Amino acid sequence: MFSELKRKANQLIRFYKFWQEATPNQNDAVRPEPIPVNLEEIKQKLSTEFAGCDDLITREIFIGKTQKKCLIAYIDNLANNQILNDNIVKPLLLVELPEGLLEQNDSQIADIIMSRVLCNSSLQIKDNWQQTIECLMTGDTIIFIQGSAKVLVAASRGWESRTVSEPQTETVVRGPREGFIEDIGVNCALIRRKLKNPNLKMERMTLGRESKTQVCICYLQGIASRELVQEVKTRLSKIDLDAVLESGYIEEMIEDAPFSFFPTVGNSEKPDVVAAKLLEGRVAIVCDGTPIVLTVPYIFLEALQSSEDYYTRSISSSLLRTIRIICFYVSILLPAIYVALLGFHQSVLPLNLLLTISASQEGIPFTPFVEALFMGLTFEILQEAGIRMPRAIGQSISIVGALVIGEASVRAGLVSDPMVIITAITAITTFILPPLQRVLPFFRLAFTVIANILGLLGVFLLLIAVVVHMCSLRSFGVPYMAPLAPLVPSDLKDVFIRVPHWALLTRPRSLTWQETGRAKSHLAKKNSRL
Amino acid sequence: MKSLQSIRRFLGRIGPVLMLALMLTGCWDNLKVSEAHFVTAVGIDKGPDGLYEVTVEFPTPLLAGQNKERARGGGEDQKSVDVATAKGDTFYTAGRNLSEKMARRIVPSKTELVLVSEQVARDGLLEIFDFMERHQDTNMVANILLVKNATVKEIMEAQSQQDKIPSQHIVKSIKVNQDNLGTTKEARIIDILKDIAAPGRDPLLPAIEVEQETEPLKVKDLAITGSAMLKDDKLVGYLDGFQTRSWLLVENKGNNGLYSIPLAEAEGRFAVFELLSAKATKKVEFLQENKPKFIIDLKVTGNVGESQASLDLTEPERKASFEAQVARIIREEIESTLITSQQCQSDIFGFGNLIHKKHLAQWRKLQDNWDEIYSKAPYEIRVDVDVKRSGYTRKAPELK
Repeated sequence: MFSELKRKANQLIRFYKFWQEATPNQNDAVRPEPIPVNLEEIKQKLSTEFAGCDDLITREIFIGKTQKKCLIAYIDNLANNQILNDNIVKPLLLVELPEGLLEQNDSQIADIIMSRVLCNSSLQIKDNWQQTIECLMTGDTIIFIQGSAKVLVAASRGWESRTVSEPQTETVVRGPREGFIEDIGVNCALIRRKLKNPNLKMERMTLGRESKTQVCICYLQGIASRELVQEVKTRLSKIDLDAVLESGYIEEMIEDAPFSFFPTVGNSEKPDVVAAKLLEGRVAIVCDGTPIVLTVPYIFLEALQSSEDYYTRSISSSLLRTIRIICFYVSILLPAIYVALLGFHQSVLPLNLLLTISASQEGIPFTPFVEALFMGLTFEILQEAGIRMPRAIGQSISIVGALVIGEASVRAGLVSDPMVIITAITAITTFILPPLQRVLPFFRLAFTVIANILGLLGVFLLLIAVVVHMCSLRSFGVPYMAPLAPLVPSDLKDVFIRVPHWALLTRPRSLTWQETGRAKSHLAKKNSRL
Repeated sequence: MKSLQSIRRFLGRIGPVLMLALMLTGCWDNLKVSEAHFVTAVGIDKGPDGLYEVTVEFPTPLLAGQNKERARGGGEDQKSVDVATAKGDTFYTAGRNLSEKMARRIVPSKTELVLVSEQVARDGLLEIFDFMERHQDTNMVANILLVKNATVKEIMEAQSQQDKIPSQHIVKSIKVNQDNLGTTKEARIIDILKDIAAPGRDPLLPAIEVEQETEPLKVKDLAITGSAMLKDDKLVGYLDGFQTRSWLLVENKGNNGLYSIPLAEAEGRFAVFELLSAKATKKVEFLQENKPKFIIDLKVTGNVGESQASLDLTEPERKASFEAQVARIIREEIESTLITSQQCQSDIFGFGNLIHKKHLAQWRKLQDNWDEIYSKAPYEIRVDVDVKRSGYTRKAPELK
């Protein structure tokens, strides 16, 4: 049985490695196709290619008072009608050009129209059919001109999208309320607004054969290490998917440890968070169509950090960070320790506590382990229901969940009171660490099971195994447990405590592995020492 | 790299086997708390037939815990603890014989009080301690008490209104007594074991007695006062509360206690000297070969806690005389303790141990007939008293 499993696992791993090593095949790129000169031919081509696409709108008009014809093509509702009318159709129809200008210069006709007729600020000339169609599909308006092999691509994108609003996740008491939206252009602008600096590079690329999703790689030149940026580009270019509907697709394709419970790619919904991560030397990947922006490399400690740590005073944020670390342990260990103590190590408990707990166990038909499983499962069900259900029936879920399952099961003598308390505490602590929220239940389960078999010994054995695993992980070359393992003393000032900003002089070395200071004075000092 | 691979291959082979081993182990220690009686106190007695009689006290979980809501269904007359007794040739068998009467397994790991009868102590405690040392489930830091003038079972069945668990009442009152009165001494099993094992040192067990016979017996009618001197592991005699207090002073284990000092100013009236701190040093001097002399040096500070008549300590002469008076009383107490222990040949102060540590060569010569030497050794007790404060008033209130 084991060899079978092993073979299957090996197959998976081999496939994963193959995929990782596969280089993008440049030869596959389609040979550029020229644009037909004749408008009739263009119409023919469009109608075959866009057969059944009723949202493609074409219109044939004469340019000015000349006999030159052109064909305007755009996708309904992707192109903004106002821009279309005022900047493209109207000038084309009403323009008065010097006599014979168009007729005499067939080859430069596109340039003339671009420089003399159209009012759009963004205009491009293209002579490649595929590129032109791509532009058309993103909302640009294409102007084909009779007798010219060049086309004009006028930016007329304008569709309905959500306004920038406060994100549902990552809520803060103090700090900016704005969050990313589904439009990549707006998202990039939101980041740019935080870092008004030409060093903030935004390199765009398209992913997905069918979806043609725009993806933007953001990084700060001089802060993010060059190898990292290169690595991100390489991994992104290897992605071979038909569609990228959400950044989660990209995350799964580029993460270092696809079989680990721990995430090795971070994400955020807030521009200020992404800007801060860029400033620490990370690379952000903005994906069109989702408000979730990926950041790499991602280390474990980021799960314990919150943007508010940096906006409130360092003393209070350090305290809260310590609480979050405690919460991490409580969340994965509390039910396990309860099960282990009650099952194996009763004498560790003080007499009065033991008597109280054993009194609550009287008449309960299940062992603490079964109770823990039952309550844990109940909580996961409630949580999932809470996310999936329509908002309107939220009330009934909370009544059924809290009252019926919690209170009634205790009254009925099916579950003991301490177990309800423990489930509640673990549930609440889970919410304190949103990035790990989806993985903590697995660890909780594993710890509870081993606690029931081996007691505290098992709990600590598994804890050691988990820590070893965490130390073995890497995210884009950065050790997952950095700066703790390997220890980077200078980075410890932003781990358990967050030192005040005036003392937070260096950027995390574990991320950039190079000396770049946050404060100018610090840089000067370093330089003078050199 | 190659070694890493071979390690990985090795782990890959042995890993599944180890995993199976994990499944096989454990679980035998697993215990459902609802299937266990957690014993809070153990009493050990010996009947006239020479059989061990073991009494255990265990809380009935439904009532001893705080779960009032469910406890209400149980009926009002139910007690929060239950007591059961069984007999056997040895302590272990007697304890095991308890199972005949129990609905659940007996778990002794939370035992906080061990009561031994006079008869058991006279026959030697070591056979009980042997069991306790052998078993991982016993609580070696449980308090041990000697029952003086009653059977162990009587004491175990005493009820308490101050604590749900009577034995907890006893355990707590040992502590309260030692901290406030100093007439008893807290002794854990492991301390007694250490004293037995140490050369030239004999243990002192705190004692409990029935002060007032009532029906039913209540814990508040018991007195935890005085202590029992053992020789090796056998009972040889008793110290009263005051003597126990002196022992604690000399051993630097307690600096509490009130001393009533008769006043010269008024006939039949007392001032109370309240001990605040004390520092004792023990020494052994050799007058000649094989003739040690014990020296106890005690420095005591305290204040006047109460005075029934005018006591003016602002006068230096009166202060000196008062201090001398206190010193004399303390010294007399210590002296009586020492004499009692010498009569019983029980080296509770550990002078022999002191010789063993400081003069090992001498000890080798003395150890064979140490009991004899101990009981006849001369001694010197020096007490230095300092009255730090005369209480909150300069002079006692006077009628005018």
